[in-house]
Amino acid sequence: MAETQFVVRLNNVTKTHMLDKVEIQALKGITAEIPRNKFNVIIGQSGSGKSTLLNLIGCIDTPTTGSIEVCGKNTALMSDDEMSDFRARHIGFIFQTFNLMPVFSAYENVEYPLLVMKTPSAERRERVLATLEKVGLADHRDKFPNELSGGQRQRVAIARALVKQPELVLADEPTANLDHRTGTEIIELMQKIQAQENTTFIFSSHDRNLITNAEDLFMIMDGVIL
Amino acid sequence: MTILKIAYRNICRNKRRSLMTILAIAVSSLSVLLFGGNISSIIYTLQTGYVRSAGHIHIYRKGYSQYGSANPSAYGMEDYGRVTQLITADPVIKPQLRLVMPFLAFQGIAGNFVADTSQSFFGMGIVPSLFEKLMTWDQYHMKVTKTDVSTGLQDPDLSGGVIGYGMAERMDLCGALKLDNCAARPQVKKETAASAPTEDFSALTREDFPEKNTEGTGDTAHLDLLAATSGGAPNVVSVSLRKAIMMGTKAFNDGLIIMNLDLAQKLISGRGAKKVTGLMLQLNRTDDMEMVKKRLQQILPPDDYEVKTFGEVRPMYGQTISMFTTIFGFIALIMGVIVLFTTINTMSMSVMERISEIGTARALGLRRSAIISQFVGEGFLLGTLGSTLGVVLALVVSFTINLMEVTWTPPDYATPILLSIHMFLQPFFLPVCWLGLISVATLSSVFPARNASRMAIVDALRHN
Repeated sequence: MAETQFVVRLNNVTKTHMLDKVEIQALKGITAEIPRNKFNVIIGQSGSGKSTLLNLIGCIDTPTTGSIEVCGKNTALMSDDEMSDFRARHIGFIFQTFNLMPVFSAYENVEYPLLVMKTPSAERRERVLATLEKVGLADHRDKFPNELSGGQRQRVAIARALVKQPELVLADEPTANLDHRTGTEIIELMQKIQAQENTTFIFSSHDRNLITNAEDLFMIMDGVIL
Repeated sequence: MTILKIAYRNICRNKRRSLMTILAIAVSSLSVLLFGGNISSIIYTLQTGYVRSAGHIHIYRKGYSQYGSANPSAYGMEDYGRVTQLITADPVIKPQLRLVMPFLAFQGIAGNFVADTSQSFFGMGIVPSLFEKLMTWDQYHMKVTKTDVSTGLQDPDLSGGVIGYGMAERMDLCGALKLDNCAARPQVKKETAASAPTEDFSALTREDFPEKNTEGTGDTAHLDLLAATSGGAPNVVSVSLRKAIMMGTKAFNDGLIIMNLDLAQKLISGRGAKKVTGLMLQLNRTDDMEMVKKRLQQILPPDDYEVKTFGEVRPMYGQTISMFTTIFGFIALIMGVIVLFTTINTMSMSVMERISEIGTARALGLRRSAIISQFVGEGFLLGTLGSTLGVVLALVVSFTINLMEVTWTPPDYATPILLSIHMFLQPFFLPVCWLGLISVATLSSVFPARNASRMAIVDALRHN
């Protein structure tokens, strides 16, 4: 796949939800290009369509109209299994509520995406340990999510997103559930990793801290990018 | 990390619910195995009982099974010695054959004139040494009853016979046969009416058995038997009773007399040609019965002989199997449905509780099929644990019951038989039940798993 300047291209994308019997247009014909290897932030009020846009970019939802190209692939042309494989290889997710698997230890949570990718066991172990080291949780690898603090859980989630060395990391309000100090630490950590790994990060946030650290800022309001 | 390891951790999340599901599957497994094991035991006990008393295959003169009971002497076999030689010399049948015994079945009236008692009876003339061997057949190593069923008759004892406990009671022979637990008949006033005969048919037997003394204390254990000969004339013999035994069904216990074939032939054939009703063949293994039957039909002229298996002679055997199989099928179906709904319920709850995790796993790139595998793996594990626990419990319970030697008396039986549970008589029974319940539990989880895999990822992720 030839590497282009932009990791995501959105062409007149709309998304309509049904809320009970009411039709809600979350995105109203968005056309945008998100640059590669940058710390991008999508900002907007609650209900402005940030998460919807991030879901479409992350290939976990499909647009009502328009087309999206992620990492050079038109997502509209992929089957469900192809989409799953594409997510597994190219996209890392960091969720607001961490979304760790409660029955897995920190090590196993980070290992999980590599298992999905069927990475050989020795390589898996090496990469998991290195990533946990990177997020500062090497000593907590055997702990289960309920034994970790909020900040530690989000670090595990970051490690899980980065362990497969994806082209694109999507984070939906990653600091929203953390206190200010922990949130700042997490942002600094992500910035550091982004610079080291040369990966594209796309955040949705209204956290002032994040916004000030953004290399590229996309403002969304009422389903339209301003 | 394997699917089963993940499944194990997930079922440990709600231990109480998983335990209840496992117990429900275990109880279903236990019920199916114990009931099936008991039915299996009943069927093989019944088969053993039939084969011990009547062998596997009967050979009769052509037409006997249809018309013979109304005219047994006309359908008797005279050339049974030659037929026996033909069978025992056959190279195909010989290796499977345990014994061949001629027998003579008839009916008549038995009288104990010392006690003024008489009744109709079924007579069975046998060769004592062969009959004793017949009674020891034990392909399935079944302990049928605690009581002694040996006749104790000897080949040279030409006038010897045995009767059932019930008949001994009715004929007032408890004292003469020195029987325990045998109710003595209350004394009744002897008939003195002028019309009453002064001498009965027992007098006729004195000619043949001058040593027998019918007058006196009533301690002499013998019966006078009256039956029609093949020519239609009445004939009388006296049978010296060696003992009374418990004879399975109530009808036999109350009315069967087993005697030396020689005595039976003397009664039925008189001074004419000696005939028998047929030949009983006992094989080493029941499994060879159909093959031997086919072979017999090849070597015996079909216009002269008919060959019947014990199932054809006693249709009740097939009917009993059919009845128990139907009941077992019904019980197994109910247990299967219980396991089905219990597992569906548990897995549906599990899916509902983990919607967000399903969304996360899908976002991380897990395919729909992998989500299905994960939940089906949990169903499989629940089924395996429950079914295996059921097997272990069933083995313990069956071993205990068999050890206790509990007895019960089936309907229309005189002898109590052992209540036993044998799960290994039919080699596939236990594995099929074990695998069957695991399969039901696994299949039950497919529906909730399929629902889980079809969730929209964004909706699932929102479900926190």
